[in-house]
Amino acid sequence: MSVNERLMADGSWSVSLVPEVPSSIIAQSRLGNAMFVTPAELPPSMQTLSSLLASSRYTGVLTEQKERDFSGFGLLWYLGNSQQGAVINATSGWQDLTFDFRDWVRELMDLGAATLVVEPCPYTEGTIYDFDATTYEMRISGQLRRPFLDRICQMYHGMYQVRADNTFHAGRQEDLFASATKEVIILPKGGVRDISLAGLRALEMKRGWDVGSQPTGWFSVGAGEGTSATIDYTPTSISPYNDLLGQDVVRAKIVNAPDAVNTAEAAAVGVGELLKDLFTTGSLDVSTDTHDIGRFLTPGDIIYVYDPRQGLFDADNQVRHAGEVMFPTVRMVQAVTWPIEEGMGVYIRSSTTGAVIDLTPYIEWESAPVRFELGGYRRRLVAQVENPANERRLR
Amino acid sequence: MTAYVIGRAQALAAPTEWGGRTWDQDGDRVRFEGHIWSTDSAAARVLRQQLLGHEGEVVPVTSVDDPTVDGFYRVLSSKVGSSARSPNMFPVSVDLERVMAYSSPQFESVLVGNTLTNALGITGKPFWSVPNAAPLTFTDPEFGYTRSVEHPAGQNTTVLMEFFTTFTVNPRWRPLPSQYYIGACLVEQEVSSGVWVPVTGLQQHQASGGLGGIRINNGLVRCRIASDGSDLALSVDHWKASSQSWNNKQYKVVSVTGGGFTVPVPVAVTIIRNDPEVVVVRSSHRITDDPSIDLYLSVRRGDRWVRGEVGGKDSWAWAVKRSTAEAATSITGGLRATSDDAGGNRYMLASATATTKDTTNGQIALPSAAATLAFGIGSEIGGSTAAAPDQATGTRNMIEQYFAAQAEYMSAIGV
Repeated sequence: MSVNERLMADGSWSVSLVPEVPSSIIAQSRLGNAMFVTPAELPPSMQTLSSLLASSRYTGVLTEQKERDFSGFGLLWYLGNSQQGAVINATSGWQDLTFDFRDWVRELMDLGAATLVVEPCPYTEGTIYDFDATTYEMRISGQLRRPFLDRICQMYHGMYQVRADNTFHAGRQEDLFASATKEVIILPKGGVRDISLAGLRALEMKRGWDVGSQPTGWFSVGAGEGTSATIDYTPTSISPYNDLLGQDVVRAKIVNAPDAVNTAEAAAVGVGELLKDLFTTGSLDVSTDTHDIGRFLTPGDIIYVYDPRQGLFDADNQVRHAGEVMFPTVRMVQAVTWPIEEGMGVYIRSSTTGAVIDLTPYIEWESAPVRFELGGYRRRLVAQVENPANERRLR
Repeated sequence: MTAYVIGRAQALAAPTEWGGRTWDQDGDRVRFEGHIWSTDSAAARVLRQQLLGHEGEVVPVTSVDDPTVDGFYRVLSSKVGSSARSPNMFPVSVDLERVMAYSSPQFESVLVGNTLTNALGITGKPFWSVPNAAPLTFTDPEFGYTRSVEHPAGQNTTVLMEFFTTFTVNPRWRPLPSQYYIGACLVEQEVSSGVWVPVTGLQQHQASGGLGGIRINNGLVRCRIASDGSDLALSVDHWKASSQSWNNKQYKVVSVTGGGFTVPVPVAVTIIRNDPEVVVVRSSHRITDDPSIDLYLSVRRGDRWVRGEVGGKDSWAWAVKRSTAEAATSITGGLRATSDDAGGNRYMLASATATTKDTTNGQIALPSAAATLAFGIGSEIGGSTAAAPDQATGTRNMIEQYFAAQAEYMSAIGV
């Protein structure tokens, strides 16, 4: 009934079928099959893999069924998580390798580079942007692919994305996603579409803070063991708070970076971890009744949000919209939840036979507001997958 | 009959009236019922628009029948039906809720802003205005700024003009119902020649021919979306207190690219924002070369500037000029008429963008094509003998006021 898309995370989806659905349809809808949502119903001649990929607004994986309720995750599910997934191995024993962002990503994803022993990429190669030639030396010693990729992105302030057409892209925010100046402003009232910005009217805006677990710095433990372990300790990279004696509050986060060979790499992973947990800009949950939000927004996009009565303004950011000068904050879309509405098409494709099953006639349609979770702009480095606690530290 | 006034909605004059009215109160909840009746169905429809437009707003309500109910109410719902008996009769049911301290609640303005981005070295002078007669409920040290005060006079009003040294402040005031709309912004529509009525809310039918009759007004300045042949004419009046009269000037919006063009009369006019503190309207125009030209016009309470922004699908060297040539003198941030006019005033044009000034005809123009031009149309009331805050240059001058880009949102906050 709804789709939850989340930046650099699996997200989720669910649909319920009407009681009249033929049992043959349910029998064919096996777990592990791909699921497609298209903006409009497709004629039978277009219900092929290539047409579905070309027109899909959302593509997911069917992983759970309860009677007539189907649910699953987004395409990133194929990439594993911090517990499961493809293991990155060196050709023999362990190996220290040095690459820049693009080469690291292509190595890890098995996209044309072949130094590492790794499982094939589950996606078609999109664009891997070569935006930073800085090289980092990392230790390959049997890590899981997904957390390794997340750490690379943290170090380079990069991001990755699998689009609905099953293409894999990596780069900076501005390479992959829309920037604030382009499209959208969310306002408490109104919803004026002017020449440069689409105004979305917020039905509800909930602003919140939680700094209880915000680190002030990091204690990053890299490769090596005992006295030879690579360590970078930076207790107060930021310290917005003082204790009652006027001293900086120190809450350094222990960061596990088994692949960091030198302190530079260990520090880079530490910075990434710090920014991941930087909550000082607060969270913001917004709902809007704008139809088919995918036209406007996808997780990773940077947008304007403006409501001075909630303190949501930035006096240094002047934007003209709808005949007034406004001072919106700049926020990154972390997640979007949107309803699967009547008029869309829903299809399942068998992972074994390739047959396409049209679920559209049997969907219990939903009509609900679109909800966004917005983070601070500086949280753009967030990788949503946790740094694995059980990942083994070698040597 | 003005038996009841609900916000802007009041019967124009006899023969329009409220019939069969009842006021049923349950705690703070009120149901007002009755019917609008008039021998003139157009006048009755005006009242219907005004009632419907207030839904969701906090408005002053006064009654001649029962003055103890006078105060501020939130309009929870507003229903206007129709009658099979007469096209001139509309049954009315309005649900109201008294706000806290209803007879004189406190209102707070959330002000944020900054100096308009400019390369001219001008610093904006932020201000805030309410009726001069209403009590303020804040003190200077509370907000850590110093203020200076002016009292410009508009039609039927004197407003207080507070100048702040900082943009982000939340000043408060506590009006009586009779004071709330003094000097407030409004959108007006001309229902018959020379008869202007307030339009509430954002839902408004197009007047005949798509225009003719929309005007924005704050008692100090008003701007009518008018026509000059097939051209758009912005007809701007500034109130001059010493002569108790409106002083009119007309302006055109043009592009000076290549052969250039003049923005024609609009196809449609839309109300974008309609609050006592700010109103914004948009007029939509089309020419063969650019079918999507939008012109936004706004006024703010206490402001003597009409603030505009014009843009289209394509980039043009936008310009604003006097409809008839009137010599001007360049000043930093804009231009001002060289000589006092017959009314003893000097018109002003301003823009934060660097513009090319035609001082012979009175025009500011973008030096090259760009997506939009934001501009101000003002007047130095009193001309060569003007004093603060009316003067074009000097202390608390008009240019500094134009360069204060302020967003204002007012709401009732109770006791």
